Amino acid sequence: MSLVFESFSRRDLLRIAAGSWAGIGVSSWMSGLLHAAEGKRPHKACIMLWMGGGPSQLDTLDPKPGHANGGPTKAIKTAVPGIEIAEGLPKLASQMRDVALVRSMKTGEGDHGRASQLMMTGYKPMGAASNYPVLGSLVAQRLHVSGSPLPGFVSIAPFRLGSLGPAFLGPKYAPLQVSGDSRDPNARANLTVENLQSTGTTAASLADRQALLQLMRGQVPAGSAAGGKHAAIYDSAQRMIETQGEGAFNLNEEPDALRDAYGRSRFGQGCLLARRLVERGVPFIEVSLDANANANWDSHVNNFAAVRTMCEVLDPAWSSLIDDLRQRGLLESTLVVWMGEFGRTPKINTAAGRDHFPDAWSLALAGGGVRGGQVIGKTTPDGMSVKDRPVTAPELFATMLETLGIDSSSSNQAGDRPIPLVDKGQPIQELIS
Amino acid sequence: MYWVSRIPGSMQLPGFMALCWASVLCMLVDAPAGSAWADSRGDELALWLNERGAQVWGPPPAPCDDLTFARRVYFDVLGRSPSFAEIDDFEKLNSKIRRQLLVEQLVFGEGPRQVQYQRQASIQFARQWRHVLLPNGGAMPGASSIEGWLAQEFREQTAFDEIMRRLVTGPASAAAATGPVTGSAAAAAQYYQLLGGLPENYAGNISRVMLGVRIECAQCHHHPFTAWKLGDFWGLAAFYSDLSPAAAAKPETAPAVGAIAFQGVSYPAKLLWSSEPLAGADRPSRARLARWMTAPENPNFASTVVNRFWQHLIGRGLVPDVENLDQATGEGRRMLDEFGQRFAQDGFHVQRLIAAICKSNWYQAVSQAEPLSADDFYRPLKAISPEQVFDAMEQSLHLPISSLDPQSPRWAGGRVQLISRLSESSGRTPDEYSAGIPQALLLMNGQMTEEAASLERSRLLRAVVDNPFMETDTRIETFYLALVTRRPTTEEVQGIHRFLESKPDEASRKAAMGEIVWALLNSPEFVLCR
Repeated sequence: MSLVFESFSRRDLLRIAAGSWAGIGVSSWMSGLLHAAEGKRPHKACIMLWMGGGPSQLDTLDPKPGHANGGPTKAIKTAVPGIEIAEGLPKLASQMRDVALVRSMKTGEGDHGRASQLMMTGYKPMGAASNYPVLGSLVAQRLHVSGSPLPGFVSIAPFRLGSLGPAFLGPKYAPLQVSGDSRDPNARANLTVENLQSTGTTAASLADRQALLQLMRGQVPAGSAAGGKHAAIYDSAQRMIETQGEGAFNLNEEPDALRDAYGRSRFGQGCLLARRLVERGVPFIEVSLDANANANWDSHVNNFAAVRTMCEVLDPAWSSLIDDLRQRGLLESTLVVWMGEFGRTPKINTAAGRDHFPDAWSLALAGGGVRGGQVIGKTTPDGMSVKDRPVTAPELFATMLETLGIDSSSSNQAGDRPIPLVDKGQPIQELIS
Repeated sequence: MYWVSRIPGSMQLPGFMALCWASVLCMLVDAPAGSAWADSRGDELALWLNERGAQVWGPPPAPCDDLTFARRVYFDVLGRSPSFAEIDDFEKLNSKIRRQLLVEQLVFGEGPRQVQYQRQASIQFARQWRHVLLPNGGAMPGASSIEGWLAQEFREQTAFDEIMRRLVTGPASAAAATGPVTGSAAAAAQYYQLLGGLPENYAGNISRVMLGVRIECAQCHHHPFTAWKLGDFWGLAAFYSDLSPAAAAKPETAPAVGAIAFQGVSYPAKLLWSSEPLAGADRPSRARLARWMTAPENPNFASTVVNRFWQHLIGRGLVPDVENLDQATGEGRRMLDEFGQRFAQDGFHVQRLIAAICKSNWYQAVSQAEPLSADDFYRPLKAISPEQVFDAMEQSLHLPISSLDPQSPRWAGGRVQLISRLSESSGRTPDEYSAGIPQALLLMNGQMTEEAASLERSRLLRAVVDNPFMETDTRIETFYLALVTRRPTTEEVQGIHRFLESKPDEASRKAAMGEIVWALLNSPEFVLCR
């Protein structure tokens, strides 16, 4: 090995970077954009809008005006005749032709932890003995293009329960977490990957560092698994630093009007970032919305004010995301899912709130080939139970996987044990037509 | 009386023999006390390991060099890298016996640094066992109290079977508890809660940790590959039925002590490998379970313990699949059982076990890539733990350690940040390096690294760069010794000279020294103990 440490320039840096990537001349996001330009089908992706806390279905997707359980929430018409949703989501209503509602989720888990585990993994919690990967890890493992500088699973503004992750699939499929610089929910729209910036490091010293690191890898036994993994992770991290995440995080490149349309909230800008990550080949992005100002989805108290406040952030972001993906020709290949871990009780409690309710609740799917403009299932007029076509978590998981082109009847191996991707559930045929 | 000195796993064991074995143990009044060995420093056991291992694997690989050996022992026993002074002391020892002397200094705390070494070693082994005992490597709130209790037990040289017996015995049920809970009982109560506060979690975990068998699959269905049945799993869980949330909430409707209900079926308390329920299970059955589980005659307990220590020290288990001992056969399993019996005969003495492994040829073998055959012996690279990464940075960068110093990362938040980020993705076994991009980014660009590479703020850099009597080569060597416990190769020295000469002036050559420190901190050797 002879490394020449002379007059490093930006060009050398790129040469070294290209060399370390063994023949990847055009980075994957470039190829993604080129594919789009050439009219080829872009790769499949999923954006999960995760509503931690459990939004009220009666005040979002399944309003019950005229019934005591409906409370003061009014229903509005949507772009699809016959489908009405709650008044807090007027922009989403205009996108309804591409949105399918499921109003008959019946999942049986009413505790935040257990329900989140069920809705993130598709498996019922079974104590410490069973630990299943979350959807993002499952999808990343199947769809991530190896050699891509960005990871297969990115979690924006994460709301995570400690034990939920890639499980037996391993840390390679753990989410790259993207958070804001500040804990203040009003000022945390500045989304970054932690430690992506090194203060005082110029392009030249990045090249110095990479060359020195290469020099110091010489004493590791050739072919050792741990040594190879170390080199691979460092090359990926180095590549992320050089390209600042393929430029995905430079939201300033987007027109002001578009950024405003998504909303200058953390969730709004997170949805915009999700679209930029899809364009760069990331197959699974999770964007969380669990709190805004003084409100959250877990509306045991003052439900109606809370949902109104949450919808002010949700509606522009969600609808702009669908619209933006459609305009860029990415909606057909990108599934956008909106859900929490459960719904809320139809009966209004004495604190004008609604409590946890897993028996009959709603979620929404858009894009990814899902047939929009329809409603799956139906609840009774009081909202207390499913009247038609109950849907379980495994059925939802089978549907999401099939729209992404993943065989929902296939299995992963955990050591010597085959673990089915889906815990016995068939896809909802009406959705994937 | 070692008539069952070797039972190669339950599957080969005829049913009647297993039954006899379990019954005999239940009748034991007391476990036989370990006969005192003359092998006070583990030398005889090390020789036995050399000879027995050669029969199983053939001749050992070439030995590693002295500094590599020193780095291993410091990390494995004290949890950190050696200081300059310690490297210097080691190299001044007689080269024929310096390795044995170092092991004795560190493991038994012999020499001037006795108090410090014994404290660090007990913490290091407590961390290792916290990692084994708890899921996710014990990266959870509350795990530190278990670690503190274990460290205390190791410091007092409590026999290992006794430590584990206290955990198996578990906490007293709410009904039976009298007075404040302290010491081992508090640790057991905490352990029970950390595992989720359910009898079935406790049963699954202790059988995995202490017997090297995974019976959790039989929680819901009969195990497809081994013979574990629902009755085996729930029979073990039944020992803890009085601790279940149902029993605590409604004592009057809870199932009888010594039985547990699952899906409408009541399972009586039963020992593994036994086909009959425990007789008289309403008597204090957990003490009997604990005694049975940790008895010297239990074919799996001593073997699992030595296998875990071997895994911790050498990087992979003597039988590599440490949690599926019942599926291990052949010479390796036989050697492991004999090894376990020797450990049991020596009274489950932890320090002597560690010293013996460290003194053996196998520990001192040069590290290698994975061989083609899974049965061959090799010493893999070992990924150091998150705590060790911090301690190694603190040691090698001369970071301030006083709690009064606001610059001290140990106290000012740097340690917590580093360890929690690295723990998000730490490996399940010592030979598994499993960091992801966020972990790499933290080590590359995090605040501690930035300060380490800064001429103004790095203590190590200033000590070396501001010393006018040091030649460039000595400076380079100092960085290598501090950070990776070895001297640079000729090729590395030449490469670094070329790098320094590429800098236009003295000031930038000086600043470039920070880049060398940066690169060593991020080199594979810093986190993968060779």
